[in-house]
Amino acid sequence: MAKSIQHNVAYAACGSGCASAGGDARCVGDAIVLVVAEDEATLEKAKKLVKIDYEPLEPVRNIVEAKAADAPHLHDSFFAFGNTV
Amino acid sequence: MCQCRHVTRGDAAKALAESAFTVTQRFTTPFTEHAFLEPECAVAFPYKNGVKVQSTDQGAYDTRKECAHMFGWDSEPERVVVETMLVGGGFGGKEDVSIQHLAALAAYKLQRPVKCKLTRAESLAFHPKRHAMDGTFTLGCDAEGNFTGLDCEINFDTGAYASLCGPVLERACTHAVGPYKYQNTDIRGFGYYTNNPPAGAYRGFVFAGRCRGMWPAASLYCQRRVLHRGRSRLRHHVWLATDGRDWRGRARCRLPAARCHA
Repeated sequence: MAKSIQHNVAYAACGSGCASAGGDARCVGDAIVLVVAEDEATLEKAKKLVKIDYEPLEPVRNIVEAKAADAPHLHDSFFAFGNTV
Repeated sequence: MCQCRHVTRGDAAKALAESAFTVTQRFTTPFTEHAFLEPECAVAFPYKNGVKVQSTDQGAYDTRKECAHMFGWDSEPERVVVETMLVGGGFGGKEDVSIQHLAALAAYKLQRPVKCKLTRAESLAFHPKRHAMDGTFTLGCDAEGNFTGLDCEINFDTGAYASLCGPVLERACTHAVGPYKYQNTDIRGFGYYTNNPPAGAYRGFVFAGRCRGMWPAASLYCQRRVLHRGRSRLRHHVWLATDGRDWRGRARCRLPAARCHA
C-alpha cells in the first residue's frame, strides 16, 4: 500500500540540511519533522497536529549582511562528508 | 563564507595602470528560478538489505551517495539503489536531493513503500536557485581599443546550503573575461552563506558564467565607446583570434564571437 509523506520543510544539499530537534533551521524548507500517513487526506489532518516552537533568530538576508564581521556562522564546515569527496 | 576562488594571469594591476582607458562598473543579478514543469517526487521501498528509490532527480549517483550518508552507510552505498524516472524538467534545479532521502528514510524505517512529493509552493520555496550575484568589473584598453586587463570581484549569495557553490563560482570566475583577447586578469570570487533558499546548478555552469562575463565586458566596452569616439560594434580584433589563446593560455573556445554586437 502506498503511503504519502508530506514535508513542508526539507532540504539536503550535499547531505546536510536536516535541522534536528532543537537545532537551528537555516532556511524556509529545512526538514524539522517528518509526517507519514496512509493517504493524503489523513496526512493533511496529521500535519495540523504538529506544533513547532520556534525561537526567532535574526536572519542573514543578503551578501552585505553575510560579509558583516558579526554575521552568524551558518555552518561549521562545508565538508558535508567530512574530509572525503 | 562557503567558498572562494582566485584566478589570475599576467599582471592585471600593471596592465590597468598602463591602459589608455579603464571603466569600472558594478553588476548585480537576482536569484533565478528554473520553473521546471513538474515538482519533485520520489517513491521508495525496501529492497534487499536497504532501500530502492525511484525519483525525478538529475543525479542518481549523488542521490545514492547522500541517502547512504544519511543512513550511515558510507562504506556500503550499494544498499541504496536509485532509479531515475521521468525527470519532468530540471535544468539544474533537481541536481540536489530534495525528497528522495525522506522517502528512503520512511520506507526503510517502516519497511513499506513511501511516496514523497512536493507541492509547487514547497518546491519553489527550497529547491536551489541560480545564485544572486554582485560583481564589480574594471576593464582596460589601449588607445587602439585592444583590451588590456580585467580586475574583477564576484560575490555570490549561495543561500543556506553549499550545493554547487564551488563549481558555479569557479565557472563564473573563469568565464568573467568573456571571449576576448587579453592576458592580464585578477578575478576574485566569494560565495556567502545566507538564510535564503540554497543556490546551485542552473542550466549548465558555463552558460550562466559566460553570460555574466560577456555581458559586463561588452557593456563596459560600450561605455568606453560612448566616452570616446564611437564604433558601432566591438571590433573583431578584440575577440579571440583563430590562432589565439584565451586568458588561460588555452586554445580559443568556439563562439560566434564575430556576430555578437556590443
